[in-house]
Amino acid sequence: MANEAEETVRKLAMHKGVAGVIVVNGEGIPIKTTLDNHVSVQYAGLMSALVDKAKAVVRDLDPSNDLTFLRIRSKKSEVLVAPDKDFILIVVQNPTE
Amino acid sequence: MAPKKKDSTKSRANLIDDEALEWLKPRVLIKPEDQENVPEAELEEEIGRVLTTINPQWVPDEVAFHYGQGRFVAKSKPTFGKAYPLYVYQGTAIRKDSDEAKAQIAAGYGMVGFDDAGPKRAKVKKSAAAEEEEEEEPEAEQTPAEEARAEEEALGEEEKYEEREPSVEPTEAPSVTETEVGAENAEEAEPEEIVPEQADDYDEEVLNIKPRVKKLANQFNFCERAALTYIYPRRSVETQTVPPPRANYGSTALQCIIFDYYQEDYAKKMREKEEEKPKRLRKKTTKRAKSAQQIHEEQLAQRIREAWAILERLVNQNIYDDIAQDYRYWDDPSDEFREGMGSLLPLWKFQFEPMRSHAVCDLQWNPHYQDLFAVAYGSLDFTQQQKQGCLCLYSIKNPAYPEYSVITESPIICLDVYKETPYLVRWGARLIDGEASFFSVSGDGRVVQWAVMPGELQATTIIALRSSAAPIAGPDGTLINVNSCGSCICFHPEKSDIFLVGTEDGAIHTCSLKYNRSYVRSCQAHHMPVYRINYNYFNNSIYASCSGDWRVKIWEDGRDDPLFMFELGSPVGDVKWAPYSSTVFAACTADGKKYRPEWENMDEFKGWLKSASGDTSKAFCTYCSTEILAKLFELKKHAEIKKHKQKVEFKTGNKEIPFKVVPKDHLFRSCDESEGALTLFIAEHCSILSVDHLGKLCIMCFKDSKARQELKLHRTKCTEIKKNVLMPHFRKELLDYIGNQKFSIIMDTLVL
Repeated sequence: MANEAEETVRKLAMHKGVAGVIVVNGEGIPIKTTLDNHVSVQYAGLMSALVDKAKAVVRDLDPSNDLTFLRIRSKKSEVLVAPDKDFILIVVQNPTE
Repeated sequence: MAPKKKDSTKSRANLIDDEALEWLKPRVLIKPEDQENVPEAELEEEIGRVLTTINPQWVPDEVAFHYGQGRFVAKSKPTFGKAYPLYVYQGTAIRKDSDEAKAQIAAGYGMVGFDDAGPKRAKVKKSAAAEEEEEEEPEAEQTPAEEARAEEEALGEEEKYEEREPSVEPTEAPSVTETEVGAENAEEAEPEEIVPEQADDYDEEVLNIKPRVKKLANQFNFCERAALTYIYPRRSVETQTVPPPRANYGSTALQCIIFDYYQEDYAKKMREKEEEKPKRLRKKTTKRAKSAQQIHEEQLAQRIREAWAILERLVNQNIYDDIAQDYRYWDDPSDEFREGMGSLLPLWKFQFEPMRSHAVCDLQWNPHYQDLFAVAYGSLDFTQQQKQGCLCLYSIKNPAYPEYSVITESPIICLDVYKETPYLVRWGARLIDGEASFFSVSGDGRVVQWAVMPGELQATTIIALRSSAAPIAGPDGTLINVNSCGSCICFHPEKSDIFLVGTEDGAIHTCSLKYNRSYVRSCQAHHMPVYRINYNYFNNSIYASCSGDWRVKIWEDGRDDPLFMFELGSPVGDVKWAPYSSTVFAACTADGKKYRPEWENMDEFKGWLKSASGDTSKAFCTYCSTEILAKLFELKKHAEIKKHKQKVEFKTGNKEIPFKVVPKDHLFRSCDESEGALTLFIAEHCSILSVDHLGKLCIMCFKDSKARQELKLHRTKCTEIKKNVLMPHFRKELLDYIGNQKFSIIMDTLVL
């Protein structure tokens, strides 16, 4: 399992434009990252807060619904977030030129 | 008498005051100095005090000196029957038949209640007793207790009895005086009290008739009591305890949270219901519950996998967004000028890093999932077989990495995808079509049907391909029948028992599953191995074959000659009919030249790019003397390298004069021969440096020679002649000389 995860992270990080991959556990602590430590911690903290809020929005509109994915597109980069109750996967990608 | 009484009551009041203060300080009795000493026993002696009608102080035979007569005369006896008021008490009752009462009744007073009667009655009473009291009271107040004595002596013997009281009072207990006074009161009050009671009785009888009768106040009607207790001083005590620990708790109750709790509750109830079920049923659930942790982990892993997959898709979507947006509308305007040709836009590049050195041997689209295709990695170079093969499933949604890959132990040549169950993929060394089983054809000349059994494969040989070639004599002289090697197999789209087998020797055999002894028909279709046979989608009797003999042939069943024949100029690796038209097919050839000469004319590559000799997949940089992969991207990358740039700068800065290329047939210059001779001389005898001067020397010396006019030989030209003219010539000569014989090389260091 761990091996597979590592492989996947490596695979994803190799893609074009991918600036970093972060795996965050249920408590909001980054457990695997390809970025700098402090950047990862910042991403993890902010993203888990955002994910909670977004999830609340989706669930509030329809309680049987759930948030599955989050895509934040900014001027400089795009942050892809796959939230789950036990983990959050974050990929930071710089758009293709 | 009245003043006496006042005095005594006053002293009593003092005593009471004293008593009230008794708890404050112990009572100290102060005796006057001249007080008569009375023995204790006498003091303690009880003296009965009884009111009698006889005055005990009275002396019966009292005499007094009479100055008028000049002798002692017995005192006259006091007259009895005269009443002496001992005590006067102003009662609240008055006689009914008295004038006063009459006056009151007339005024309406007699009927008033006790409360409001008080002050008014006092007024009325005053009118009667005012004269008496008002005269007496000031007297009483003026006479203090001790002065009163003198007066009292004058009042007569009867009053002496009372005279003792003040002197006794301080010594005796207050209770005694009280009882004394009480007794006096009682004595005097009695005669008066009886009267009003009787009057009351009368009153009630009379007054009852009256409409506005108020009861006269008496002891039965009203009683008021009041008691004043000590007021204890107030005291307040405060203590402060350690404040209990506090915590703030806040939470938001969103709709989703409430929903979750309901779900949880529902699940819990269901669980409880489950537990109520008989034990036999429950055992099963407990078994399942044991692996709950595992189930959770599996689910988690699955979810993570899915999340990764989505992430990868998104990343790819971002990368290939522009291609996905416009590939449908891509059109190269330059296509109009190319007749019969067009340019292609490469969309995606699929690469699997571990299989870099492998050849892609087969590729098949998934019939169900339109974006999915399978790729077989193998090796077509049979002299240098790769040890491993790989099967990859790619999706065009993710060109970077295969969705699924299996590394096999042997290289994969061919694969196919089940049409009924699209997720099953078949592969193997030399394999082909079938149902639940599949068929393979291999280089040992056998067509084998493989039945897929759980855990194993069962092989059945369908047919052995016999070669038409004559048996060959083996090393020991025995004749061996040579099987032809199957290279491809193709099943008839409708008749499932008929199939075509292409062989390495160029034959196409039509075989049937029913006859394993011989071919249904056979023809020598090609001169080189048949690489692929493909049935037309629209007409089942038409099929195409391609071969290494550069040809694609279209055949019809039952004919020995092909309908059409196309020569493509290089080995044809694959042929396929178009699924949309019965007359269009595509073939791919092995002449895929990669190096393009038009690159040499591009501005960025001008001057230094050349094709690498003998390898079309490589280009050559003349500046850096290196080979580059013949791809536009690689070339551009090479042009950006610092080292290359430096060289370009150097060369262009030095202004190299380009040699004019003179066409071979243009003119044979007369000087060519002499230049060649001079070069040969240089090559054989001296260093190349001297050629600069040798050339000029020749021109100077042989002025009459025709060749002299054009002769121009310096180091560069000399080198080129050596390399391109002399070397090939002498090499060929040498090779011819050696022939097939063995030879050895002896080198002299001086020559070098």
